Amino acid sequence: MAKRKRAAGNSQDPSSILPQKKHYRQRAHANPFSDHALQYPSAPNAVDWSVHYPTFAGTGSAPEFADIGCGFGGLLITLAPLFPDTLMLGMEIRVQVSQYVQDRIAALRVTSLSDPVSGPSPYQNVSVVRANSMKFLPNYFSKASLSALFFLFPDPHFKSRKHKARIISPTLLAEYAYVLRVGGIVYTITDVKDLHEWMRTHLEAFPLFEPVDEQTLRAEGKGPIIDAVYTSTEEGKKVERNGGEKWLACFRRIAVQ
Amino acid sequence: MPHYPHSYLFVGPTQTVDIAGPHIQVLENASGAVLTSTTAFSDEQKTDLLKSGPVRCAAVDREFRYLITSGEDKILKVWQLDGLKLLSERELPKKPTLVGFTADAQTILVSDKFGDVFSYPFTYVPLTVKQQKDALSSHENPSGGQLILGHASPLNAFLLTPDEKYIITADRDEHVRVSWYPKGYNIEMYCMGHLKFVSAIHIPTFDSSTLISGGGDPVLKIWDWMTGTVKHEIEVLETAVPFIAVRTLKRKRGSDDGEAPEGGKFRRKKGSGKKQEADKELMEAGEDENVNEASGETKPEKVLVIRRIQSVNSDSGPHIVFSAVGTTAIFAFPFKADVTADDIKSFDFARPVLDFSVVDGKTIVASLDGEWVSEEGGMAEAKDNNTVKFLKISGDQLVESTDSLTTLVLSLNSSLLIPATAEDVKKLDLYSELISMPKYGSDGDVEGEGDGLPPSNTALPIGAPELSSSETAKGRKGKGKIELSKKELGRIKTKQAVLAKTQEMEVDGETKKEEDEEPETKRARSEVDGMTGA
Repeated sequence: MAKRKRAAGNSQDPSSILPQKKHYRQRAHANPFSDHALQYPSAPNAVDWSVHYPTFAGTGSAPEFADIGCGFGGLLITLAPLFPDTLMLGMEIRVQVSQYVQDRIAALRVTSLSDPVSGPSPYQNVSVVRANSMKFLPNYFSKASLSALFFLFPDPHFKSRKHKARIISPTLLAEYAYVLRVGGIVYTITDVKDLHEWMRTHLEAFPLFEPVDEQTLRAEGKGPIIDAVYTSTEEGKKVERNGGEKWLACFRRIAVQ
Repeated sequence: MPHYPHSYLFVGPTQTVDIAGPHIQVLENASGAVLTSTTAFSDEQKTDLLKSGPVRCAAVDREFRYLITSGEDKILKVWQLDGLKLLSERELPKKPTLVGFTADAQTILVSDKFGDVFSYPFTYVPLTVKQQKDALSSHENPSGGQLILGHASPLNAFLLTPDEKYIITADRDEHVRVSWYPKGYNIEMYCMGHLKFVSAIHIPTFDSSTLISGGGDPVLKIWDWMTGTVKHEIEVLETAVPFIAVRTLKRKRGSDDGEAPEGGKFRRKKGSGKKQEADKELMEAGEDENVNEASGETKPEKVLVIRRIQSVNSDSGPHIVFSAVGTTAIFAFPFKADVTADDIKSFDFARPVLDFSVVDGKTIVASLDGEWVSEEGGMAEAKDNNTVKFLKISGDQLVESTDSLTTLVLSLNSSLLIPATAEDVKKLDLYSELISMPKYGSDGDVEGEGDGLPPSNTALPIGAPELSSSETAKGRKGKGKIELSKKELGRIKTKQAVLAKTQEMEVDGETKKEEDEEPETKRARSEVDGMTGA
């Protein structure tokens, strides 16, 4: 905490115009089944992605990576410069948190623009929506449009009567398989062993996904993604500070047998 | 003396199944006589029957041999129509919304309020061992039902395509999904585009590649369901509105939409001990909102909820017939490519239509609410007390059909009526969909996320990385003075800094880049002005 404050206090630092998390704090949970006063597109083709990614306007590009429950946006910010041509969208149900990410991206775009040496500016390829992914994923993404889906440190919903609110379930997996193209990867990570077992078991049992291990993915050049999955998020860093364990499980979308 | 209305009427080739409140009667079409009725059950049987409450869901198989029903107790009953013999009872995991048979009657499908569809074999074999619920179990089923698919919103309707290779499901969150059947985990397509709940779907008998869907939207959508593309839309709201007789009070939303305002009632002290407790309360608050009904303030309004869509053949070609909840008329339009609202014909019964079905592809059987009393003038008055009427389409018009099954109609309207108390009738809650279907998201909104705009206003940049809009929304609420919390001030400061930076760069003349940033700047400036000026 102290470290972050110092960085923010330094007015010479270009990052000083970045939003501060303390202004956007919100409780950690939301009820995914309630009718939030959400705004969402009626269909994927109704989304004007050029509003999210102005520098990609006219290219017909649509997001390929989706970070479900992106929280404070750590993964997006880390991946953005690594895959400058890939559009990425974060989805976050908590309004304050999604606003933080929104403001953070806006600030990062401005600060990185002002750097005369950097060439094409990073962060133009990331954006965020406040959304309930359990209900409205197909409103944003058309069939087989994504190549990666991220579920990083999702809400564990410990109590068994709340298991139905977990972001991985046999019925939701059908929607994830729908938006992912064959070969696309689902990345999951958590510090809760029970949740890891839950996600792994349900993904393994689902006919359209097969497990893929970390080594295989690294060999395919997805090492930087895996590193970001482990360390880039606020939650991931917290677990590290507390010396907790992290369980990674990845799956590949396979064709219908 | 009040009577139970006919909530379902299944008219078969020789027999008719009539469902009225908790009761089931099987009639002979030719004579209109009762063959069997649950009203004639023994006291013991009757007690069991009444325990289930009014029948909410019912279906008859294609061969007209079996009936499935479900009341309010989450028990699925399978009946043999011959002698009205109860073959099996099984427990459902959630409150069902629709039940149906496959063509061979060997499988029963049930959709539920939780958004799942389960299938059950016709013959019920009770589970010998109760399903063990462990840390990994999901979608447990007390009767061993097989999970076909699930939405994260209540399912309002489902149907199997005529070849039974696909199942199409519709939910309260505007989705129409096409999945493989029985391998429902393969989603073939979504038919996206509804802006309000979808409550009725139908594949015309004359064209199996087409799907017609309707719900709260002012139009019916005509889809090529395999590709998810809309072929055509037909405006129905204006035609239906004059006939919407039952009005409802808007369900009021509190601030408990799962978004606790800063410093609001959900604010808790930090501390792990209290955390779980708070979570529980939050979750429950979110769930409770579904039962909170309006009290005062709001005034009754007309709400469109499409109830049923069916195909009808006539001497003037194929037609689509539809009804809406709490509406006194049935509507029909020719099934043709360029159909418009002007082609819609209506038939006014002067009483709300509860449901209708189509017999033999050409006769429309409508059941009406006989106990309904108009609360205001301006509506036509009923000429008789009949609660069942047969219609057909002739010369493009909906007309009363008097040539067939006259004895059946006669007895359904007289001797077969089952008496009920006023309390019983009230409990049927015949128009509950008018309240339960719509979402009233933009009321009592704390964070200013839905500022009175329709939820799917696609012209808006949805959450684009412009500066966020919570402050403007607050300003727009027009509460004279606005006190800003530290948090809000902090955010505004950041935004102003970002803005200043953008403007600075504009001055630097990086015009090429700035073109893209222009709208952002404008919007941000007006936001800040709005704040300081208020």
